[in-house]
Amino acid sequence: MTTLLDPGSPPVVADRQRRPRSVLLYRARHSPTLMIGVSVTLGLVLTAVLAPVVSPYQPDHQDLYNILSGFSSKHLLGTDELGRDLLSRVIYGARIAMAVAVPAVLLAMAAGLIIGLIAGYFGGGTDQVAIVGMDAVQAFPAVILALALLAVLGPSLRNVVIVIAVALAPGYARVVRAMTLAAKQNQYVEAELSLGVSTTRLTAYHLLPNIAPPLFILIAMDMPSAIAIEAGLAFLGLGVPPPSPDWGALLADGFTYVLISPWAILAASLALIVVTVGFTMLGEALRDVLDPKLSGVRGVSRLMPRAR
Amino acid sequence: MTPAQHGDPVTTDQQSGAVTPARQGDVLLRVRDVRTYFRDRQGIIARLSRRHTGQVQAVDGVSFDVVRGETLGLVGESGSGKSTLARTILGLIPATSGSVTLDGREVLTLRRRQWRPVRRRMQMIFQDPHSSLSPRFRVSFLLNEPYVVHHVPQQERSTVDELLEMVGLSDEQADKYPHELSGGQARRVSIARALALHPDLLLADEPTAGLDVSAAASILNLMKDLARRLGLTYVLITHDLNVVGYCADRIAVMYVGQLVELGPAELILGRPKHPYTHALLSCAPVPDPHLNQGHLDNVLGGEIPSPHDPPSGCRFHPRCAYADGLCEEQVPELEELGGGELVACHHWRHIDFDDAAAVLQPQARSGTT
Repeated sequence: MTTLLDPGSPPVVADRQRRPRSVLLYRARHSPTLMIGVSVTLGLVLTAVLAPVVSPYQPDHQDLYNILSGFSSKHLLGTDELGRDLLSRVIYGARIAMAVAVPAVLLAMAAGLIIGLIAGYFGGGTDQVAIVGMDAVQAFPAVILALALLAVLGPSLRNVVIVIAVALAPGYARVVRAMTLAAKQNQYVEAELSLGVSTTRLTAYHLLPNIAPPLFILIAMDMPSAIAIEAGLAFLGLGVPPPSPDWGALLADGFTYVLISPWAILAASLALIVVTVGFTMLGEALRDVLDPKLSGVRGVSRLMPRAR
Repeated sequence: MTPAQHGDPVTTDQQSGAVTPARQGDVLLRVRDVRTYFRDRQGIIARLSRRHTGQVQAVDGVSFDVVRGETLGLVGESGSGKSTLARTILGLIPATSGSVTLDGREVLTLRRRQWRPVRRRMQMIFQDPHSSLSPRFRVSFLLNEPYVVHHVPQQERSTVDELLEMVGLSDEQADKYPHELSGGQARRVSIARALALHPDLLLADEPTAGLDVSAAASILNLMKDLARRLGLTYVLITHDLNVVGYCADRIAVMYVGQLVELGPAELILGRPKHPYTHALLSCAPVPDPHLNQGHLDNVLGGEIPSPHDPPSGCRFHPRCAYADGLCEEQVPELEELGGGELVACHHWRHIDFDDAAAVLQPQARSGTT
């Protein structure tokens, strides 16, 4: 029996075996964007986790002798109108940023994954309904939508998370739907079905792995959006309620006293800028490393339905 | 022969002729008047403005039996509905009407969950050797998957090595990913996967597609060998007459969703009755460079008609050299000739293919030369 085998192929196959992973590593190592992105992300996570250790004061500790002070050795970034140390508040602000952005993005991804899989897999009327729903949500700018929803739900950490998740979910649903439609065309899907696999198994083992990579990119890209929306809401007074050292709230307070102490807005703005740019770089670098074909292509229109 | 159980009165006329008496042995798969229509995808405006929505009659009233242990070759041009028929039999595409029984048990009316035990007995090998294997899993996972899916107890499972050996692969292949296999190796893995559950019936859709001649030959030898050892029954779908000539016991010829001829391989290949079968045979490649052969489209003139809007009467009449008014108007029924042979042609009695000129009748040639 073995003599029937094509003897020429094994060496070629062996040669190819190790390639893909090392190519990924090579690209990763030679991408400064990725390095910066990863550093900023790690920095943010560490700051959030180690806030009590690295911050010089408690975020609500008041130094009433130094109100609205500028930079000083005692308060590196100055103090606000209640004498609270701005550096400490910015550091603790990282916790709020993470506490909102991480669950919001994960929630958006989970919702988008379910909606996108169902729409892409079943197609037809289900798909149409899902698309109309996503269009309806995406028709509003994210911040406006979040504002409207928050006005209804009332401001709280949980509601801010929900509202941001609603605004971001359609993006995930679209990508997942498009990827599902594309993956469904593969003959192995039909082969698995004819073997008798359940829909659940087909989805979990044979469709999801093909859908996952672009989702990581989207997550990294959406983190800054979530943080920015959250800061925006807080700036407008609809975010996490006042005593919390929220970056958006810090900005708002800073603006109130900008004529007396212009330094106050600096700290929060800087934090926002660094984090947003860092995450965006991470997202773009991930995209380039995982799928160089996609670089330069905004969105995934390339992968849109090859419908029958 | 029990009549097929379905209530479609339009189709009963075809029944009498189409029921093939099983020559010997018991009937494993019985296909009766299966129709698979696809509705056109149309926008709302198109749907409103047209009186009737278009439909593609991919399979239109096909009936045949497959006897246990035989290999039935299903041949026809691309677009004749062979693959759709196979997918319909497997329940991957819903049938519009008709009946398919496996060992006397109706399968087309099964619900999704009820399909699972049936799938253990009826497996399919898909056309493309590489893309029919899930790309992110190693061969060992793919070969074990049938057992996991069907909850086969450990002691009844074959090991991955056993399965690989059965299809003539070495155990080194177990750790490879599908893209690391050659076409022939991937094909063998598909076969091993299909056979893991010890099915009775194997539907093979173009098992030699995408393989070079020697790999194709070794796959066919393997399939023949496995059929003998495991008592398998095949439905072999192909457009390659050399393949069916090599493997098939009986041959069914399809044209635009319908059977035009069915019979023992030696009769179909040796003395075809239907002009379409004859045309197919006359342009099947033979290893003789001096033989002046035509391409099918040249021999026949024109292209295979769209199943969207099939010709009236005999579907083959626009391309047939022997067609007359009767063929344009009346649908020929499958007529039994004895010896297990069936033909759907009004004029088969009067056609003599030995008269070489008949093949090259001016009527058919004029349009193309």
